[in-house]
Amino acid sequence: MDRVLELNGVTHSYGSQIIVENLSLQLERGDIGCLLGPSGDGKTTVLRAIAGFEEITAGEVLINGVCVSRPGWKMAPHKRRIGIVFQDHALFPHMTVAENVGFGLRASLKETQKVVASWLDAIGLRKAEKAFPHELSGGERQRVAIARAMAPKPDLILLDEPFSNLDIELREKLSMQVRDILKGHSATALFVTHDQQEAFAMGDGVGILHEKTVQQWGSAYDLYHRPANRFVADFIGEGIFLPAIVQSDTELTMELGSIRSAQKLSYPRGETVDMLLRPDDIVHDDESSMTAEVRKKTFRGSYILYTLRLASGCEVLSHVPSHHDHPIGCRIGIRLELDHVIAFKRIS
Amino acid sequence: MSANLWRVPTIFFALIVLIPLGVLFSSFLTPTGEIWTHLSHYVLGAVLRNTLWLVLGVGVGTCTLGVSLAWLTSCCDFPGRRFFSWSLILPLAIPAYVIAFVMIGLLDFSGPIQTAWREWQGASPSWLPPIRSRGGVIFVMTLALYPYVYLLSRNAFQTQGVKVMEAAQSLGCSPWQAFWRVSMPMARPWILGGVTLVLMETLADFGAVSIFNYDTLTTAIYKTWFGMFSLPAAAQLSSLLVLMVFAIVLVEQRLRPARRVSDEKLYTMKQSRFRVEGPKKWLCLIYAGLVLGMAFLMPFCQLIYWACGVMARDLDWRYLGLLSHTVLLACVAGLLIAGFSFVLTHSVRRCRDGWSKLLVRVATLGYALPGTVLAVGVYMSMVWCEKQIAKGVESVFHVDLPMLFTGTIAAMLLAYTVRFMAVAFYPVESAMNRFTESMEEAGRSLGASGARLVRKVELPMLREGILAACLLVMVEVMKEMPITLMTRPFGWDTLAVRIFELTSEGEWQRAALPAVVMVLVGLIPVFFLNRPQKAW
Repeated sequence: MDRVLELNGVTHSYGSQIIVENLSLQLERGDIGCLLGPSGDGKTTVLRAIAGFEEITAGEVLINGVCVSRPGWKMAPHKRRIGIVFQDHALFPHMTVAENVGFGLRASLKETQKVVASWLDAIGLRKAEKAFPHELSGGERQRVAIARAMAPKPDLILLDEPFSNLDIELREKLSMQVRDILKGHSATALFVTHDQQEAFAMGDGVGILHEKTVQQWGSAYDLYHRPANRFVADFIGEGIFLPAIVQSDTELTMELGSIRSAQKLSYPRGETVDMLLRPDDIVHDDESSMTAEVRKKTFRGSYILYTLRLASGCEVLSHVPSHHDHPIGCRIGIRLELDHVIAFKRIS
Repeated sequence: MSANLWRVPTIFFALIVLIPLGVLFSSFLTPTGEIWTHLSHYVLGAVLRNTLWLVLGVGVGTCTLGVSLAWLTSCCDFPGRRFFSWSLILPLAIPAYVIAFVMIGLLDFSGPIQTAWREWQGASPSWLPPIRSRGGVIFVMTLALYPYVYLLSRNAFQTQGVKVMEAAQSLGCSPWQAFWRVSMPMARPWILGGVTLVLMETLADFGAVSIFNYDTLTTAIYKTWFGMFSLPAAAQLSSLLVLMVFAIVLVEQRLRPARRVSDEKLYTMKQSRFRVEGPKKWLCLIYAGLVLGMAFLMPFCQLIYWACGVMARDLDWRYLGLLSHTVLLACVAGLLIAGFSFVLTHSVRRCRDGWSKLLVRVATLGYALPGTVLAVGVYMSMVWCEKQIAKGVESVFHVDLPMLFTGTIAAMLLAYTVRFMAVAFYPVESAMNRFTESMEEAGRSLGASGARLVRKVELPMLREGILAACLLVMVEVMKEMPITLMTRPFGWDTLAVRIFELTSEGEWQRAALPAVVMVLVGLIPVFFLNRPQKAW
């Protein structure tokens, strides 16, 4: 396959403060990659380094196999053929929608008009071509920003928290539209967000950025069910750690019973580890002999998220279909139904 | 007081602007016969040509200097950028007439530069163009007025944010192309605003052009009144000048697209400026340094040098008299006009509607009117009023009334009020905007109303704004030349008048002493301007 973007051990520091350290990632042609991480963890810096607005202090950035950034040298941003969709859109306020979309095109007037028209059709804003950015709604501005970035057919599109300024309903709808547009043009894109739902909906591959580097890169399924470290396990989805004792290299015991692991465990026998229990690992079963006390409940439509207290005093989470409506303080039967054993060294 | 009563002050302040204007234009009804024929035959053509050349030259000059310097200091990185960013405003502190006489003193035939060159080479320097020329006036006024354009375009470049520039670059523009295609068009409304201010100041300028003996409409008005003693003819010339000012304002309003400040969040990341490399960065430094040197450092040092030379001789009780006149006048005018501006903002607050808005616009229009014009207009309207009163008194009491207002401080203060109302109004108004309607309602609901609300809430909240207004007016009044010169009571000389007298006799050195005071006073509002987060 064709590698469009490659970062090898990239470090960026601002003065003596290191913002990104030894970060590597690759994107193949047509892929939509996503960097997911808590706010203020250098996600935007990574994008700016790729775009050429920030210098890097170690490593290299390659686009289509050509080095565009290395310590002490960078190719000017305007020579990189990278389209950017900014968080605040950064539309040119003195230009109409059509002028904005056509800004990056270097073609004859006729050709430009044709391309602009087809993009305005694609984003459904043909009627607003003469409008100025301040006359548009947030969602419309967002779409103009995407059309403007994509019209010159860049090799790579960078999207910096593109939906963070929109309200939640619009966000979901628009993220699907944007994904369709990107996929429809087989564009290669990298976008950053702090919203997990958005990352999982948009990205083919998702990288978790934390403490200056990528903690794990993988599909949504992998990140949820096979987190590489404790931070990823904690950050993605809900869950609670319970102590478990390693019995053999495929078996553990804990308060809720004993568990067999499909893959071999790397912990010595007899060691106590922290095991991750997702809310869907604990199933409500009236037949079960094991019970737990309902401490808290949150209604979530099709299911209720219960916080349950076990006999030992430990608390676990459980998703229960919402017609099982139990009052707080009542004891309900539970059963462990675990597919993937995720255990980390115990921290006390 | 009911809302209707609160409209009275607003109407009053609008009227004192409108009446002098009306008087000026009605002067065409009074035949001035010979004088007008003389003016139109021998004076008007040259004067109009001079004025137009001046406006054109200073407009182009300030635009070039102001925009280029603003762009360099806000979008590029070169040695000394931070220093120049604020210091390039300093020339605002020096009135144009001060730079004018310093430059003539320095560069004229008998000045130190030419003298030194003659001693060295034996002949006058042929490379130095004559300073007493049209080019010389344009050069000096450009140096004095470019900060207006600089200030406004710097504001534009700094608030448009780096995101749009980065967006342009990601779409294939080089930094230079991005400047022309994005930055400049976005800054256009601000640049136009700055140039308009400059042109209004150029048209209004009296001091600098009279030092250069360069006849423009303002000097023609002065000479017609005090040389030919024809007030009606002066009024006719004044109305011509007013028409030119209005033409400029109209053109600006037609050309100006709305100032679109994006409602996008302010970009907080460090401004990524273009780093200027190699010999170019030294060129930037030299360019900015040269402008600052010629417009501020050199004149200022020269003034101090001259002032030190004459201090021992000139600094006597007479000089203290001048100083006390100036300070007294400035204080009275400052307090009065700041008070007026409070009354105006307060009464606008009481009755908020389209009418009040229009009246306020009229009341603050005076700033666009040249001092010479106002002097003539206010003087004439006062004379007219007095005549009417005198007539009335005579018909009832059969006594002759002495002159009540004309030639008194009152006339001068009225003219100042018309001219500087805008200067005082904007700081007070922006303070008033912070005193929101809901605060007022909160005050009322807690039982404070009327005078108590004003005393307890409104005045304390406006205090800073009113103080700033007072200070700004004081500075303006001290620097003001034509109104003071033309309407002062006999013997009421101020520093500005003294500078005018000394420079008209070519006594540059002795004029430096009052000019130094002028510059030091002028520095006060400049420091206000450099304070960030102020609406004005």
